[in-house]
Amino acid sequence: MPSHCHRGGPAGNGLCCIAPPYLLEQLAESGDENQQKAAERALASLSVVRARRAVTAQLIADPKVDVKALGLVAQGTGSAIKVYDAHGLPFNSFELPGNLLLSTDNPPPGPDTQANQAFDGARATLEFYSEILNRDGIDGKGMDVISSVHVSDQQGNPWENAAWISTQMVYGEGGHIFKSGSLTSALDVIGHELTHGVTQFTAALEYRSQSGALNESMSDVVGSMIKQFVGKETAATADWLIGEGLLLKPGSKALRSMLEPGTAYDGDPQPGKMNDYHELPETEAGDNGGVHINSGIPNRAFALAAIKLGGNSWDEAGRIWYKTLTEKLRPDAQFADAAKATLEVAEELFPGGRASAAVEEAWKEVEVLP
Amino acid sequence: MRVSVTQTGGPLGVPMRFALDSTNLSEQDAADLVQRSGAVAPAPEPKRSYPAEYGYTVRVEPDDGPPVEASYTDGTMPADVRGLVRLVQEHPRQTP
Repeated sequence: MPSHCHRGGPAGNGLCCIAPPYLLEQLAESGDENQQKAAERALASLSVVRARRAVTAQLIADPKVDVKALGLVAQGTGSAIKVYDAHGLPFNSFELPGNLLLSTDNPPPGPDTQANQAFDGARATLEFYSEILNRDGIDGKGMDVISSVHVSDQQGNPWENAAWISTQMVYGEGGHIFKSGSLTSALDVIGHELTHGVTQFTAALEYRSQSGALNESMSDVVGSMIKQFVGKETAATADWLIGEGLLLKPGSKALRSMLEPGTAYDGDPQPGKMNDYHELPETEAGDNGGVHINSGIPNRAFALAAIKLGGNSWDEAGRIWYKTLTEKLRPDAQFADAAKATLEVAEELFPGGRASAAVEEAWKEVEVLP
Repeated sequence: MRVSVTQTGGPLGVPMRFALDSTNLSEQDAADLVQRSGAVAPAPEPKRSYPAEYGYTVRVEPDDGPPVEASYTDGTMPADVRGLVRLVQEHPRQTP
């Protein structure tokens, strides 16, 4: 058995589950008969996996294609959580996820801090969705949550990102924009990214202008609630900051402030009301119409509604926003559509007028409703 | 020559702007900037593959001739343009 077979553990015929392709090629050429057959099967499987991932990535990028219906996205196996070490593979490598470090059957703590944090973040997110919102995983059908840590950019440099890439989570090291190793440490950022997956499987909000800002805001809403849930904070005591302490920039508090948009760091451009809405082009330079900028408006509406309703943010406001996302919004929804839908859902879930009145006040305060 | 890069996306999301002007650089660095800038060519506006994907708009303003601007995502950016972007983002003599 070659010495590096510990990476994947043994599989049939003495081959590793995750064996390097060069090793498989060697065995296919020069191993004994059993090794040759197993290596050929493994190589065929590898090429299928890579081709499938390449095709899936292209199809997921096409909004007209239902990848779930085509069976191209991992289906439910009981919401298992798995964390892999990418060993510096690029974020878009067909070799991802890497080598398995942690799983639901082999949970933290392990020796890799970032892997432990990525696992804990995924677990907290799934628990919140299950216990509070009665949702079975990202796709609602218990799909596994796969994460890869130690992912690099395409040139092998530390990657400054943490992202849901339609099929799994990937985490870079940071070090230039974000504090080194910090991207796995923020529960709200992990919850934010995984909620992009929930949106992908539900409202599929178009990633441009107001629908894109709603997409971003829904991720912040759930990310913030998870942070509050784990930290046992009420809506009144929460700081409503997203990504607190992640930025290296001196004097920055966080990536965003939901309650006080525009105050997270010097130069934070987020508006907190419609009068300050940024009309930006739907280009890369324009942040696709300001999806990360104008999200400050619906973010503030949620924070205000949660505070007005009292208690925990997920008791009423969170359930209203979640049902709105998963059952009411269309892909091209605008802020006013979201406001109207949350009012309807508030009355459906909490009849009597108190909840809908609080929600209406919040949307009025941010000037989405007149 | 002036090269500016606007980066969007990622966990922060909001645009970050970087620029480098050849007049502020050593002769060697200025030549490097001019040589690398040749990789930027007009291209269709890309679409992000996932919400947190980084996007980049690179604008090259030569001393003579019209400016050239192109946008990329992390997934669509050619290696030679990525080298230019890193040069602009990490050079100690960035201009505001």
